[in-house]
Order: sequence, then C-alpha cells, then structure tokens
Amino acid sequence: MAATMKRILSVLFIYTSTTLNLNIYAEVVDDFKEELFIKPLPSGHVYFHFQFTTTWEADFENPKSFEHYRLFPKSLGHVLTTYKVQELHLSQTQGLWRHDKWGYPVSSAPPGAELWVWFQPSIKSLDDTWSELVNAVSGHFCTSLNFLDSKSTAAPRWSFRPHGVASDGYSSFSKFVRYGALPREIVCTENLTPWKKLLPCNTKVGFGTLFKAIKLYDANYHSLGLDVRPVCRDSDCKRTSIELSQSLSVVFDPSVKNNEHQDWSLKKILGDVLSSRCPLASSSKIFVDTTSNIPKSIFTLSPDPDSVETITRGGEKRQYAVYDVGLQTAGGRVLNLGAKYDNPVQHNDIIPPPIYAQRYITGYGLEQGGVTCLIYNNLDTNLTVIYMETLPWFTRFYFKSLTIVNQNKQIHPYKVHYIPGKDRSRSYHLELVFRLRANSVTKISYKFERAFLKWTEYPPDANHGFYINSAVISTVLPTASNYTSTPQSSSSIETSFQDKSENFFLRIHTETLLVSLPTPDFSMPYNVICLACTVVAIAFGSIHNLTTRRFVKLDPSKKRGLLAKIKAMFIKQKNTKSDETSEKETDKEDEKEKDE
Amino acid sequence: MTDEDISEKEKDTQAYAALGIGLICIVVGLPLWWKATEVYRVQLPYSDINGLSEIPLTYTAEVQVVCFDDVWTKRILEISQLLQDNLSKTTGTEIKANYRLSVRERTTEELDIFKQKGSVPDLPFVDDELSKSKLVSGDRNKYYIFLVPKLFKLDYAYIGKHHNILIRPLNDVTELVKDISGIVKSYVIHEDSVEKSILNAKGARSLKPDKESMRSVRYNPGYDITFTLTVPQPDILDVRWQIEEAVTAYIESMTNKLTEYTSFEIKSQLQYFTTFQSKPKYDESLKEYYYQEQNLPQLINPIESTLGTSSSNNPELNFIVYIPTRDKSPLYIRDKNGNKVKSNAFLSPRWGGVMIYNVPEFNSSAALPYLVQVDMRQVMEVFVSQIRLLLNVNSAAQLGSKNVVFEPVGVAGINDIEIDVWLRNRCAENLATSINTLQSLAQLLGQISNIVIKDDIGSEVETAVESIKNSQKLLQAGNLVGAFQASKLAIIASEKAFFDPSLLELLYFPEDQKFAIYIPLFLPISIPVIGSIYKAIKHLRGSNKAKKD
Repeated sequence: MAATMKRILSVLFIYTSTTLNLNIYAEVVDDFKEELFIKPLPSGHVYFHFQFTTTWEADFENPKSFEHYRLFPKSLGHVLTTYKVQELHLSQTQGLWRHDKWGYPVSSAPPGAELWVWFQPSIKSLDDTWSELVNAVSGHFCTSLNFLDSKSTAAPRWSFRPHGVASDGYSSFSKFVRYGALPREIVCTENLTPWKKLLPCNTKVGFGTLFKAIKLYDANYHSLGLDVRPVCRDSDCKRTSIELSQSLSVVFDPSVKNNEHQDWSLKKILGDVLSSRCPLASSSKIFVDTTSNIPKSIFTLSPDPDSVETITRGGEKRQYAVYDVGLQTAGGRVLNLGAKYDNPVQHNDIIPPPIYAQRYITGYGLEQGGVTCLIYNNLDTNLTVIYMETLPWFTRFYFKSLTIVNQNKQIHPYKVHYIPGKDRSRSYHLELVFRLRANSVTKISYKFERAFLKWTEYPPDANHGFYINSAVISTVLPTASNYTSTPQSSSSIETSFQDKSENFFLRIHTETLLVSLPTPDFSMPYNVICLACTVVAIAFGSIHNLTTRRFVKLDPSKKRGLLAKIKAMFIKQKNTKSDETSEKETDKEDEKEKDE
Repeated sequence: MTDEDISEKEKDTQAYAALGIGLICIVVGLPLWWKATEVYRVQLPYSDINGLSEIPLTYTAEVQVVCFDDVWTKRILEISQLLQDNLSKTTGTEIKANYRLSVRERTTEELDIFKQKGSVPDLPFVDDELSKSKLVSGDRNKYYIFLVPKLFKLDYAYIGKHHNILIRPLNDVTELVKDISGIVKSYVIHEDSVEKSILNAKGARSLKPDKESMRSVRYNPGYDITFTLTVPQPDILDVRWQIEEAVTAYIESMTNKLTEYTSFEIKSQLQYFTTFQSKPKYDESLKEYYYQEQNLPQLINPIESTLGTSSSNNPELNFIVYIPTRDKSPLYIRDKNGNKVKSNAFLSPRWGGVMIYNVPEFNSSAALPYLVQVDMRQVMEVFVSQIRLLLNVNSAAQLGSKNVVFEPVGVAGINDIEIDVWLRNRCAENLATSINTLQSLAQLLGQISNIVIKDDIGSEVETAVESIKNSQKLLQAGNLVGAFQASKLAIIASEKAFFDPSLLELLYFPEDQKFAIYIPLFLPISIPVIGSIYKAIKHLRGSNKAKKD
C-alpha cells in the first residue's frame, strides 16, 4: 500500500507553491463546559446531575457552517442538517422522578424515551422528515425511537414551545413541532455508550471517567438528556449559536448501604475518583447544594470547597460549595468529593414543592377504564397550568367524560386543544389550559374504552399490558422554591446563579400508566381454521351425500354381498355376547344403507 | 317400468350427480382456491433481462489527426487507411473499441501557436492554446493528435491536460501509425482498463485479483468524504488546521469537475484522546518510533470506532491525520525493506487513508498547550492522490514510459483525459453490475415462487432495463456522458429493485405450514368427492357393459 503511494505521489504532485495564505484564519469558534451539580435530598437520596454544554458559533440557516467540526459532534451535526432540525430534545430515562419527595430536577423527563423536535420553516414534507429523523436518531442512540410513527406522534400546541431563540411568527404555530414518547423503553448501557461518544473528551479524562455503567444503572433514577437549540451569540442577540446540552441525572440512595447515614462520596457512589479535568473544557466545576446546612450544619464536605457562593434566586436563599476540578486535581492529586453526616436520616414529613401531580388508572374490567390526575398546588396564589395528554388510539378517549374538579367545584378550562384519535392511524391528543386555586388539589378525570386489536398488532408479551404516556404539566412559577433548572439563556448550571428573573418556567411529567387490553389466546387463529374447516367439511359431507345418494329401505330377503355377510356375522357375534340395544340396531341399519 | 329399471335409472342419476359435483369442485373450486391464495407478482421482462448480456458492448471514440508537415499532408489518405486498420485491431472480449477517425491538414492558426515559442515549444502553453482554437472542440471523448512539424525538437509523445496529444515527428509511415495507435489505445482510451472494469464487475473469479479494483470503492451516485484530525493529547499540543481553505484549494477543484457525475459531501472533524492501540517499535540509533508495513491494518479499527456514524447511505471515505503522542514521536512508517515511507501515510482499501503527521520538536519549557499549525499542503497532497486511488481514477502516468510524457495533474486534481477514462470505465462497470444485478434478481424471483413482486419493483426493473439499453446505444454512438448518465440511472434502479424490503416479506412462510392450514379443509372434502367419483365411474362402466351385453 504505502509503497505504491510513494511512487504515485512522486509522479503526480507538483503543486504551485502557495495556494494557501497561512495568515488567514477561519477558526471554528466553539466552547465546552463540564459541570457536576450535587444535591443531597431530604429523603436521604443524593442527586447527581452532570451537565456538558457545547456552544458553537454556527448558523442553522447556513448549512455551509456545518461542514467543519471541532467540539460539536459531527454525527449529530449531520443529523441536524440532513433533516433540517431547529431544536431537538431527547431524553432517555429509567425510573420515575418523585416530585413530592425530591423537588424538581434540572430537566424533567418521563420514564422511557421522549423526543420533541422543532423543524426549520424551510422544510418540505414534515411527516416524512420526522419518520426519517426518528430512524436516524434511534440508530444513533440505540433506542426504539423508530416506533414513533403517526400512531404515537403529536403536534403539541402550547406545551412544547421552542426552548431556544425563535421568532414569534415561527413559534406561535405548532406546524413545525413533533412530539413522541415511548413509555415502555428501557434505558441501559447501550444508550449510554453512544451518548458518551458525543462528548469531546469522551470517557478518557474529565467527568466522563466517572461513568461506570454498573454504578449508574444501580440507581433509583437515571436520565440521559440531549438538547440542541439555537441560543443568542451575544447580548444583542442578532446572531445565534448552537447549544448542545448533554445531561446525565442520577439519584442514589446511599443510606441503604450506610447504616441509615446519608454519607456519600464520588468513590462510593460512582465507583471512581476524579483525577483530571477535560482540557478542552473552558470550565470544569462541581457545585454542591449546601443550603440544608443553614442554619444548622448537618453535613461536612471533604475536601473543603474552593469557594462558597450564596445566592438568592426567586426570593429563595441558597448556598453552594464550588469546586474547580482543575485546581483540585492539579499536580497529580485526585478529588474524592464526599459528605459526612452526623446523624442518620430522619424520615420526617418533607415539605413538597409548589406544584406536583399524581396520576393513576381507575375502573375495572376489560371494556371501560378511566384516568385520574391529581394536581397539587401548594402556593398561596392561583396558578395557570397547561395540561397535556397523549393517549394511544386503542384507549378510545371519551371527551364528554372529561371533568376538572377543584374543591368540589367544576372548573372550565380557558382553552382546549383536542385532536381525536383515529383507529390505527392517530393518537388522541389533548391540551387544557386552566387555573389551579391556591392551596388546593385539582382533579382531572376522564374515561376511555379499550379497543380490540388485530391479532398481529399485539406486541410480544401482550399480557404485560400497554403503556400510556406521561401527562405533561407546564406552568410558570412565581417562586424558585425547589427549582434547579437553568435559565432560558444558557444550559450551564453556573448561569443559574446569576438568574435574576422572577418567573420560572416549569415542566413536570407524571407517571406513565399501564393498562391491560383484552388479549386473545394466540394459538386461536389455527384453532379457528381447524374448527371452521371441520364445520365446512361436515356440512359438505352430508350435503354431498344427500345430493348424490338416495336412501331406500332395504329388503332383508335380498341377496347380500360378501362384505355384508362378514359384517352380519360380526354383529351376530356381538348380539350373542350382550343384550341387543336399540342403538346397535340403528347402527346395523345404517350399515345396511351404506352398502346400498 | 319395473322396480329394477327405476333403481337402475336412479343409480345413473346418482352417478351423474357425483360426477357433476366432482366437476364443479375441479373446475370452479380449485381455480378459485388457486386464485385466492396466489401471491401478487408483476410480470417482469425476463427475456429482456437475459438478453441484455448477449448484446455485444462497443464504445466509440473520436480521433482527429492533424498533420503539420507537407510530407504527411500529401499522404493523408494513406495515413487514414493504415491508422483505421491499426486501431480496429482490438483485443477485448467483453467490450470492443470503435474509432471514428478523421485526418486533416493543420490550420494556420494552429501553426502559429507552435511557432509562437520558437523551435522548442513550451508544451503546456501549446496545449492550452490549442484547446482554445476554433477547430478543436472541448467535447468529451474527442481527441486531437497533432503530428508536430519536424522543425520542433520533440523526441517523445506529449499528452496534455486537455484532449490534445502531440506526437513526435517520425519519418516512416508505418512507424508513425504504430506510434499513434499505441498511444491512443493504451494512454488515451485505456482499452485494457475498460475490459478489466467489466470483468471485475462481473465478478470473474478466475481472474487474479486486480489491485485497482480491490482498492477502489464501487461507483455510487454520492460519496461522503470526511477528514479527521486526531489529537491524542490536546493538553500538550493545541493542533490547528485550516481545513476549510485546504478543501477549497485542493479538493474542490477536483470534486467540482466530477460533480456532474457523482456528488461529494466533504466534512471535517477533530477527535481528541484517540490513539493507535498497537505500540510502535523503537529504533535506538535514529531515536524514532516506527510501524512496519504489515502492522498498519491493526491501527485502523480503534480509530474507526470513534469516527462517528453518518446518516447518509453513501459510502464514506475517511482521511485521518494522526498526531503522534509526545512519548512516541517522531513516528514513521517503514516498508518491507525497512525504508521510511516518504509520505508517512498509508491507504486502506475501500475505506480511506491515514497520515501520520509529526509535529516539529519544541522546547520542553514552552507553555502548554503548544500551538501547532498543520501544513495543509503536505497533508492534502497525500489525500488527493489517495482519493484518486479510491475513486479509481486510472492515471496513465502509472503505466510509465520513456517515450510518453504527461502534463502533471497539479492543482486541478484530475485532467480531461482522466475524466473520460473514468467515465468510460465506470459506465462499463455500471452496465455490467446492473445487468448482473437484474439477472440475479430474475433468477431469484424465478426460483422462489413465494416472493411478492410489487408494482414499484416492476417499474424499477423496467427503468433499469431501458436505461441499460439506452446506455449501450449511446456508448456505441460515442456519446460518453449520455451513456454514463444512463448507466447511473440503471445502476440506481437495479439496486433499488434488488434491495427492496418488500421482497423479503413472505419469504419465510414455509410450505409445511401451508399444508397444516389446508389439510383440515381439503381432506374431509376430497375423500367423499373422490370416493363418489370413483364409484360413479365404476357404475357407469358397468351399465355400459350391461347395455352392450
């Protein structure tokens, strides 16, 4: 190989000396940040949120800028440009986030997989592109997203507005958005591996070295997130950059193994210590929420943080211990961040967050069913929420049965967006905008009918049941109590410290539901074939006999054939052995007739 | 009428009824069942498909000989006669070359071009100027042979960038004709390579493996080219490359020329913390690390897994610039004889190329990370030649000869004659491949009667057959570009038909399951029907006999 190369080279290439002016720079401008946010939860759990943010000064409208990549992953960029994506949000989650006990996560995700995408207005055939896109994304992340066909896709009108920079004219139409979720999807190592590969430092250095699948999947909650959106390049916001936010959230319960103590450390929880930072990252920091140490210290961190930041966000005072991984690991040191608690976990009543929800199946039997969702508002003020449901076509939703009750009073929603489902082609999609009263519980309930599926439509293990997507509740909170999400301007955790806004957009996902549908015995088709054929054969046989034969009375005196004689002999023998019954008499007669 | 007569008559009626029912079962029931359980199969042009490979392939090229000296202008007819005879002697078995020859006198304009630069002509200049002149058209597949006037001291044949060939002045006609036909056949048209492309596409196994075809990727309507800069230690070296400018300067001049025939999507990326897994050897005396030629294949796999996937269906060509780690540099590639490979690069067949780029030594006390600029010219020189190899651009220069001199390709990346050869070879290859594909599809569909053939497959097959015929016609007529485009359509359509997923749908429905489903119906119906027919026939025969008696 190499030898031929050499020869050809010497023959072929005599280039004109300087075609390139080495002084002209057209550098790829991008930035990468890695952050880890740790929050000890009052229930004895510890919440780890890894946040990797890549911003790239590229323009979605100019596909030329998507040719030369540095920190931004090329494979993802190719997907975005090929399918003309404006925003892409993917989450893959194992387990359920318990809002009432854990507060709010940095980014909310339903159990299973969820994908919502805003396409560019220049797109031609959106539905075709969506089906190609889900195939490409499912190939990239090893999820079954390719099952998100028209039967399980919706175009939400209010719940999923663009998260990044978008013009009003664009975002006010739900024409360019598609939403799909797979509640049954199981998330595991095969999803983590392709997700890790998108990180510039992979798992060789930096926070990536902490991703030990065996530890990560031994958690109470595990969520992989990937969000791509356009953000402002500067404060003027005349030009946009692309922001890729990759997040990994895990909730562990260290008290189980620790004699009821909430003690945690990187080594104990994630199986390794940090020995380096990603040299490509402009910032590599760990933030530990130490707000619970005010006023009385309940745990001590080791080593000591580089700095302690006290901030006020939305009227709530918070304290964070900040570690700069670069400083902490300088000179070959390793960082094994940990916390030591003086007392065991006290399982007291936990003050729930301002708003949370609970959803469950009602009814019995295999014909009818219902869903009830309770939304708790613990605020002193009324709150307007958007409630979204997507139901598969086989749970036929009765719109008339929809009731919203608060303190025994019927509530009428301000706005309703309802797209009825169609058998085997479209799911039921419902969005409601209504008000929750202060300090109250609002109950949304409706009924549905279970449809019969064709026998080929049942999935493997049909008796397991069928999943219904999480309901999505979106609202804007006036307080930042329990709120950990990053502000609109950036996905980096650090920017949330400077957040001075007074309204906080919140999206929460409820439980997924499992319903059982009438499930047939799957050997049935063959049984039906056999039974039907037998009936046809019996009918045919007798009709055939009737049409081709005539039944006449036989004269016993007539000469008999040889066969009849032998038969008669047998009958005689039987008759001598036992008493003659009328049944046998008829038998004999039948045989005689047949001989005719 | 006696009782016996009545019963006899009755028996006759019974026999006819039984026969009637049997007849209805056979005449109506069986065809109905057959029709109801039939799989949908569009009629394909099977005979056309089989006939495709019977049609002899020929291609036509136009050659115009321009005589300058009076010695030759007087003998135009003789030259034309002899040359035609010489050129028509083709050796190909798969495809035949056909030449449309014309011989003419030079124009004064052409003579002036030669005279402009004195007795030793500046060949590239002459080449450029000639292709601008009136009688020389820039058409593909049309070649101009200039019999250079004697006063110019040219003692070799010169093949330019365009379609012009300058032949050294000779005295003897037969020698001259032999010279011309030799050059046309082996350096301009590449008769051998056309033949080889067909044989390779047909998958002739008896042939010993051909290096070029094993190395190059098959023709595809599009290719993705990815340049990757691998930096294993970004904390020590801050490596930058001006890929955007380099692509414009070196790659696009070449791909733009081919863009009419196949599309290229060029991307680049940086990969960090990726290293060659196998350890290089250390040469104590030279203080350098090296890989031996036979170890190179092992280097690619660990790197490939980090390159990321592409969401297009086009074949991907990867070109990697590898910056060795500090503790393993400088790093070189050595060939079998232990000599350093000059380019320090290697090519992986049908995959791409890897180049090891050693960064210059720097002071260890310098602030880290140390900024390094990759010399794109050095890198792109290697990659352009690798792309040419992977696309199977047959370079005449590879053949090498003392008597023939080629204008170097230079920045253009590919010259006109090379494009012609490439088009001709790819066209022949595409035709052979798509004929092969169609024939194996037809054979497969003939063998397995369970396969459903949908309308769109039928129409794809028809398009492919038509395009193949069209391409063959155009190739014979000398319309190279048209023939190539038709062959492109043919290969796309035939591959689409062959790989259509709907062909697989019913493939795995086994015969024994059909029996299991039909037996409960057929067995209980057929037994009384067959039984009564048998009886009826027996009875009727008996009654006939009785009547005769």
